[in-house]
Amino acid sequence: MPSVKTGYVILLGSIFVVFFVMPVGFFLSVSVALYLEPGIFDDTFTLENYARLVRDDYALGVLTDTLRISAYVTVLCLVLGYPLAMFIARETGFVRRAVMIVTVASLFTNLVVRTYGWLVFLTPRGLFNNMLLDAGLIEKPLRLMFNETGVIVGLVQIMLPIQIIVLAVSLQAIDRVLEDAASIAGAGKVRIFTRIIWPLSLPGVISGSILVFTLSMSSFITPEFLGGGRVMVLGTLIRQLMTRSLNYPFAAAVSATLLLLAIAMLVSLAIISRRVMRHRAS
Amino acid sequence: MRRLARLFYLAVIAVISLYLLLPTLVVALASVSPTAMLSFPPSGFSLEWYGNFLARDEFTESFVISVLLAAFAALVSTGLAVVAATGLRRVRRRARQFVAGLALFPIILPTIVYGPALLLLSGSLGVTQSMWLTLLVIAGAHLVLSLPFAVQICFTSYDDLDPAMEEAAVIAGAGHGRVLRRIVVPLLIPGILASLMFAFLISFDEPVVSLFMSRHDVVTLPVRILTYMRFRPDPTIAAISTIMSLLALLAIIVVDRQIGLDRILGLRR
Repeated sequence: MPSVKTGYVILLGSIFVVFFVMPVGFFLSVSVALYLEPGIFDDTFTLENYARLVRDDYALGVLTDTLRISAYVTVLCLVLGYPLAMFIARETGFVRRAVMIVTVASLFTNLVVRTYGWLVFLTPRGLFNNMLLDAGLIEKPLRLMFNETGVIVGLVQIMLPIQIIVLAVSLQAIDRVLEDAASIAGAGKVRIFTRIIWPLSLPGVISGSILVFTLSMSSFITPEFLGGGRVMVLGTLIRQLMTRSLNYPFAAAVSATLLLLAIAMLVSLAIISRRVMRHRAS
Repeated sequence: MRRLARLFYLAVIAVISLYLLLPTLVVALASVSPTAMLSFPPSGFSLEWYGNFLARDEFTESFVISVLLAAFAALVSTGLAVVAATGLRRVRRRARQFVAGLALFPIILPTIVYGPALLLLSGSLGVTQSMWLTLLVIAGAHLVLSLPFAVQICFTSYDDLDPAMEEAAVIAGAGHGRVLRRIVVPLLIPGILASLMFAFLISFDEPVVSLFMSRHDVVTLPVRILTYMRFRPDPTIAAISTIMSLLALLAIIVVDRQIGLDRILGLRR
């Protein structure tokens, strides 16, 4: 049935072209267009928008802030995720199942809902401050959000399930015989961890961290709402340029840079995992 | 000493799990609180906000839009994925790898780049002038976003099938269509259900593309919640959020029972 097959390829291809290649391609082409005034740009080719990203202290600051926040989030996710991944990989029974359902359920809880939850919890007159005030621990509400702390607390919770799942898969692949052998040879728990478990879990650590870093870098909803306009990251900058300043060429250049960073991250991930595979095979 | 270490480990696990659950629990608490301001322990119990959700037309309207978009994304992406999985026979490895690789592109693209891209092109083509065309663009975008997951699930599910089943049917004299209808598709049912559910949730939960493409009469549920968060954060959105979280939890428990979370996540047990 060649005609059915051709029809299918045409259908899939046109969906892909119309809803993906065309908008993204057009957007990227706007990144080298000349900005004239809000909402208006010219076809003249220019690299001015990219130059501005490096020259403009504000834009450069946003870029470095984004990378710094993403780095914090990545480290915290690793520290908090490791014990939980270990638990899912090694334990059995009801508690393990419960921990796993909690992890997957939080992954599938709407991003907006989770951000809203943090908003209700951290806001000056929110649950956390009210609890501390009622207990007499503080005199006036603490500033827990509309700053970087709030954004990081929210983002870590949103990224954590991803790190846990990636780590658990790689921890479970470690052969228990190695640990038993080390234990018989007289190694303590700490030594078994530093010499066997940690090195063998490194592929999981690296791929989980790259995923978390990439996703944090391109996050937008959480920084926008928990940062309250005071924390600018690439995502919130793009939003502002698109809806307020209406500087489409600069928005496109920032987006292209973000996309390039994301691709670089994932390509390095692919290279690392290929190396690991080859290493394992030999 | 050993027992103490074990207790400490379990306490760490409990605290991190609580952190994971915290926003969902806080929202659930807010949804049944009689006052807009929250305190703990709660000052009472009320279902007023749930009633509010049903009473306000804008919420039910957003709910319907979101469900329709998600149903479209789920059915079309799963349909396309099943056809690709069963149509590209096992021998055609390269073609299968090509489709799988192509489907990965949308995952790499951050929605904060995709949303503005869709808005700018639709805006310059005048698509955003029309409600139906705007809905079509959002539907197409949700399809693109959910397709990679549908392809991944359906391909894995087909690869798990024992080729001997198909061969046996062919030897017994069944034609291509018959093998597909009577052998392959029934065996793929768990995979198809998982794919439908994933694709539905991806579209239903998607906030960024829908936010950029929204107009006064095309507001999906997540975008409606966002606008309320910004302008009038009353617990009505907590009630909706709790319903959404419960539905996600229910879906996960069903998948766990039907297929097993371990299998979906790639954990061998």
